[in-house]
Amino acid sequence: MSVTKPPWSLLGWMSLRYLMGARRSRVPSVITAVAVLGVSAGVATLLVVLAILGGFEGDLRDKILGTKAHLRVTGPDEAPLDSPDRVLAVLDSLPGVLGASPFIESELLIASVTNYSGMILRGVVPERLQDTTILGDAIVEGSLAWLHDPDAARRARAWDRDPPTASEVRAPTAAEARLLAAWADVVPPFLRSSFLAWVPDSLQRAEEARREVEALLEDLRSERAALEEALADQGVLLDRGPAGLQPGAGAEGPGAVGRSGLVAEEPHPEAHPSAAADAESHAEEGEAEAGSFVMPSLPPPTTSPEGQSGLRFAPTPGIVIGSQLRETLRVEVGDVVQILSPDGDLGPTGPMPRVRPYRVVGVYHTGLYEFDNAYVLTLLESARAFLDLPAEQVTGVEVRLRRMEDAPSLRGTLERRLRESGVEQAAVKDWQELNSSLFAALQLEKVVMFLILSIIILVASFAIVCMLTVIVIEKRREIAVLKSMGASQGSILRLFLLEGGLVGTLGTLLGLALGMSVVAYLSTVGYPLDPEVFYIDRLPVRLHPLEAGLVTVAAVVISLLATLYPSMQAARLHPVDGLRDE
Amino acid sequence: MNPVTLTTSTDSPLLRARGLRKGFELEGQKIAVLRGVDLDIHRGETISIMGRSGAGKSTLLHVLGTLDLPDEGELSIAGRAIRGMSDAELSSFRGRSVGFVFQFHHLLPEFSTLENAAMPALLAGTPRHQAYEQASYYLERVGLAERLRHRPGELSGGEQQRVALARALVMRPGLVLADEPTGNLDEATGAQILEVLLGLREETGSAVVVVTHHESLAQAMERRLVMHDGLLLDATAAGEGA
Repeated sequence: MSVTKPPWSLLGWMSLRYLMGARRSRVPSVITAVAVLGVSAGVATLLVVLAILGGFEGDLRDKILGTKAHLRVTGPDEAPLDSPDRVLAVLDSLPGVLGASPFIESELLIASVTNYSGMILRGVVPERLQDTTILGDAIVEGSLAWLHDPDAARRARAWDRDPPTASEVRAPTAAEARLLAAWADVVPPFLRSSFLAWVPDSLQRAEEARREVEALLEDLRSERAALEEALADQGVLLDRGPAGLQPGAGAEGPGAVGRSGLVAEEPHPEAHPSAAADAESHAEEGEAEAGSFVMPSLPPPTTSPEGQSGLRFAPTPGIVIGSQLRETLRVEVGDVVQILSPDGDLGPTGPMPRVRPYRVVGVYHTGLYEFDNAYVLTLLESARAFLDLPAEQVTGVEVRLRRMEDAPSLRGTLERRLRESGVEQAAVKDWQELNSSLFAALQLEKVVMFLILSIIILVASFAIVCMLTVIVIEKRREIAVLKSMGASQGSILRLFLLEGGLVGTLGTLLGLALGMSVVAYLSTVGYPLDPEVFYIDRLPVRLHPLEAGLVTVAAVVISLLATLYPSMQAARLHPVDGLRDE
Repeated sequence: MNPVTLTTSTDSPLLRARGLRKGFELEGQKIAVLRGVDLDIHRGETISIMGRSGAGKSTLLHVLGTLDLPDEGELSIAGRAIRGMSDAELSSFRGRSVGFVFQFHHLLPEFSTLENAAMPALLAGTPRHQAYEQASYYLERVGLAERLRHRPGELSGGEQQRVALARALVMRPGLVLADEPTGNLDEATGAQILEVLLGLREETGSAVVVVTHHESLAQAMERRLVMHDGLLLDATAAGEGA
């Protein structure tokens, strides 16, 4: 005898009808609505949480990979690299490499007048840094370029705080006037307008000041003649030409510093009585410490070395610090801080820590606390000099790739090329290796969160179990009637599986829509976070299509599994039991 | 009274039951409901079964309709033995060959009159339009041509039972089993239902077995049987005698 099964379309139609509920009884439809909402709430929650987790992970990853390299070449076993030039030559010729930058790294202490902090000093080549990290774009104050000209920071800062009086400026020559105009580009944008407005006025005032200074210098020259005789044995400082006073380059010793500073301030008549106090106030700001800071002096207009402006300072090397470290140290661009190294020179009382002043020429903000609080950038040479490293030696070379996914494959290529070009003492690591523990933790976190949050769907699926169980009980008689009309156990099973599946699918779709809407809202409008606490200003969201797909599949599968038991109960229901009691 | 083999014709019967036994366990006690029922039903025959409540009438009907399986005994319908058939086969067979009418119509509240009547055909895999065509024909025959789109809840008791009749007959089954089809209706409506049932039987040639408490309904049947103490007794002669 042939057995005809009712077609799926019929069962689908029937289950849809059951889903709508009968007019007679609203109970199944209310429960159905609750079940659908339960599943959709679970799916939406899972999606949003995954998106936020993904957002945080992506944020962290971008910041880490933005500030750190995709590949890193060091000596074997993290030893320093002795031949960075050859490594760089190989890297620059390698396709897929965006940029490579040698660096020196060492953990040191940094101190301002008010505070100190541990940090990682990083010697870099600013021009190469632009290509290797996002740090170039992360500069929020000052400039990376000022590492080459740390005084620019001080000048910018002085103008920013209180525009210099005539006492600080002498008449500019035509060449200097041009230079002043060119500085406009160097000056940070937020200072630029005030700077430009100030220049013409200052030139006028400077010319007046210059005339006064000339008169004062005349007086000084006569005093000097007298002094020269008295201090014939100490004539080192005063044996310069009478037209002006040479810059007191720090090399001339502390004595020269104090004196040249004093002299420099002296020419201005108004400043004259307060010159000493002025110098002191600078000292209080921590700028005149350690004998390397030199107050502006007035060189002869004609003999300005290197064609630079007459405003000359001793070469206090520049550093760029992170925004967090800036907060800790309470310093501004232009301030001088001290960097301390434990292995210093031998002093009279034993080993002395090495202390050197550095001028803050820039502040960066990557948004990564660990980075913004730790890394201090300086020129490769000044780091090498401070750490007393052999010439040419660097800690390693950082490499940025066009596509970070290429890191593992390019790593092999790079290792081969390095060997071919005779660089034996080099080891290459990629970003996954460099940050392996972090990314492993992030991955684990996500998997665990997914499993835990799947329980939400599981709980929601209990609503399906509940709904179907109630419907099965409610429909016992109808199931029996359907059986009396020729519906087999299989048909009943399929009917209820369809119904549960429909509820699960409906709930999943609703949850997808809901979750996607929330994610879309968070990514466009955004939920503001307190940057002080979270270090980012709004909740990051990033939803991978794969994850959304996984959630959908998981939700539907869980719903179907939840449907299975009540459906089987419905199928096994004895028709007579359904028909008996009235 | 002794159990008898109820045969009135010599040709092979539509339904043949021999020694049907059925019991239930209730709180550990076994209660025998059917205690060896023999019955032959021939094509087109009308039979009434009477008896006291709890005598096993409904159980017998369920067993005859293959909704329930006997503990013992043989049952064959249209020459096919029920024992050993799979659930799918049995369901399919039931859907095609047996029509049920219950005391409480048991219509599906989610579906319209037409859909309810067409359901057995739909479940048997009949194409939708064809099933509806058949169903609307029988609904017309029971006088509900105007109510095809209504839900069962919008119909009166008598109308509902007429839909149930149309549903039972839509597959032109060889056997129609009715369990107190008029039990829930007033006498006039009940008589109306009986009339419709017998009228349709003429058309489909189905054998009809009616379980009833109504003497009038029983009298309208060709054969009248009485269920007593788990056994089936012929009361035709007695009825005629009365």
